[in-house]
Amino acid sequence: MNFWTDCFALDAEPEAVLALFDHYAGRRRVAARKLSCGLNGSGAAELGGRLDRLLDLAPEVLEAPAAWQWSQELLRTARLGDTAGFHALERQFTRFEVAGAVLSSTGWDGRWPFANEVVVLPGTGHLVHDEAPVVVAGELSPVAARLPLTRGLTVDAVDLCLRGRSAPRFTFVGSDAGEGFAAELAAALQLADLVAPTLSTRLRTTVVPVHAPYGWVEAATDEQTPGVTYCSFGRSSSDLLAALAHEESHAILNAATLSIGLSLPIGDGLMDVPWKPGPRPLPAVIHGLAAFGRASTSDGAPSLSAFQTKGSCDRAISNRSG
Amino acid sequence: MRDVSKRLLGGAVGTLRPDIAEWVERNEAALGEPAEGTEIRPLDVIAQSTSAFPYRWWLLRGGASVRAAAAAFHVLQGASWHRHTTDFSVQDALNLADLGPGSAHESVMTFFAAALPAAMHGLGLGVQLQDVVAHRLRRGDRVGPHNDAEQRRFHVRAVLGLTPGDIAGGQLRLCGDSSGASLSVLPGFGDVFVIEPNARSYHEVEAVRDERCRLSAVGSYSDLSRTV
Repeated sequence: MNFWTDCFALDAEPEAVLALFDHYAGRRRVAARKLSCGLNGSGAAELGGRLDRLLDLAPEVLEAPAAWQWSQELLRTARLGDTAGFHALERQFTRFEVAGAVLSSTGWDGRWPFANEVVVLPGTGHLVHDEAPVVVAGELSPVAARLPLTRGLTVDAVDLCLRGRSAPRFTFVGSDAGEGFAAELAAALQLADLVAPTLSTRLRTTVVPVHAPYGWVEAATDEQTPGVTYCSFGRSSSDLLAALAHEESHAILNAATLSIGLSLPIGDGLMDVPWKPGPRPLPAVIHGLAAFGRASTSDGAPSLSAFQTKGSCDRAISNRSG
Repeated sequence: MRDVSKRLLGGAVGTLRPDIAEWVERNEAALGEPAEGTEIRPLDVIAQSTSAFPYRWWLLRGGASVRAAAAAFHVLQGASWHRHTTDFSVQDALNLADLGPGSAHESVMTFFAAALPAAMHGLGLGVQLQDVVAHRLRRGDRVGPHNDAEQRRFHVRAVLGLTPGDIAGGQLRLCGDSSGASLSVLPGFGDVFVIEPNARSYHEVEAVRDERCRLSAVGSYSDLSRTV
């Protein structure tokens, strides 16, 4: 596979891009296995054992964006010697175990440590409200609400861990507003079916909705929250689709650099670009060219070219990666 | 895209690795030829007043103004605004000198203090920057007819549009006198509207009818030929 030619075009074949994302997810699953070894070799063997059991039962849970955030935060608390933080995360692990029972069609009837909280079961799309859940042969009871899902796009305004290090930079949308966003995403995907069908097949991310300042637009991808796209709503389908296409290219580059060893050279010095204030290092320039270059590689999709040109201005000032 | 690609390939940040150079070349080639007249130059005159108009104005646009607009928008995110109400206007305002420092802030101020005066020099205006004030008009906010001529501390004003996309309302109306509009413009993102006030240079900003705010940064300049 030639990464540069196979993955960046707007009409890139889904197989290459999805294989890359799958590879990256596999790396995160392997990292979880290493984490369990580390836990078993330290003073946290109980949590290590629970992680081992989940890896045996339903390892795909550990590929969910929330799992990566959980593991990174666990490592951080361990490094800092933050015992209270570590135990809080240990408590959080229960929701991954319940998710594992659902996905593996097994059972769970343990102690539910969340009181009066709406909790996401990672990788399942299920939400658990006040009542402690029970899982029998993969069936969750009481019957849970689900996160809004539109084809490969999940809207998650609930799971706080997905906000990651972006938390101070955004104003996040309340947890009760997801359905309207899913409808907007569905409309954008319908447009994609017409103007960039391979894009609509490729898109697979958890969208965390954010408010935009002054009612404008925001969209961002953070290499430290893989599988997550931050995005504001209340915009046209074409604009939303342009944002998704733009952010996907950042996600592709991040997955390639963090998964298959693609290296972006540091370069010699900095250079000005029209889409961001201040001089930028070469990796950031490449990110910008890849994201904004989508319009240039859209042969046969002139309408997408046109709207991305319109939308690019907004993203030039809001995107956090390029 | 084209400019950045050319500078990259020209070694702006050193010699590119072959695979990346090849990708940048392909990407640039896929841009195709620009339609005639669409090439963005540093700062061009897009439109200007005719001799029949009672005062002089120019609409400028170019790479420098778009970059300055992007930097200004960046600087203004999270800034604290002051509500500014007068007999004829309601809007939020802040002095850009009160923000910063930072590279984005420096970019904005450099544009207003150097790049824009250089462009105005080409229009026959020798000017020196006095201040830069940002304006934010929310839904319902407006600025009534005024001519800017009463404020004798400046002789030329330049409005940098910071409003991405289209909004309802917020048009800048240029009036030949205080009674009615004769021309409407909404300086788009990166557009610069330059006006040389005089007693008849009445203009107004119609009420914003959108949840999205109208944003602009206004540079005030003294005319060196009149102050020296």
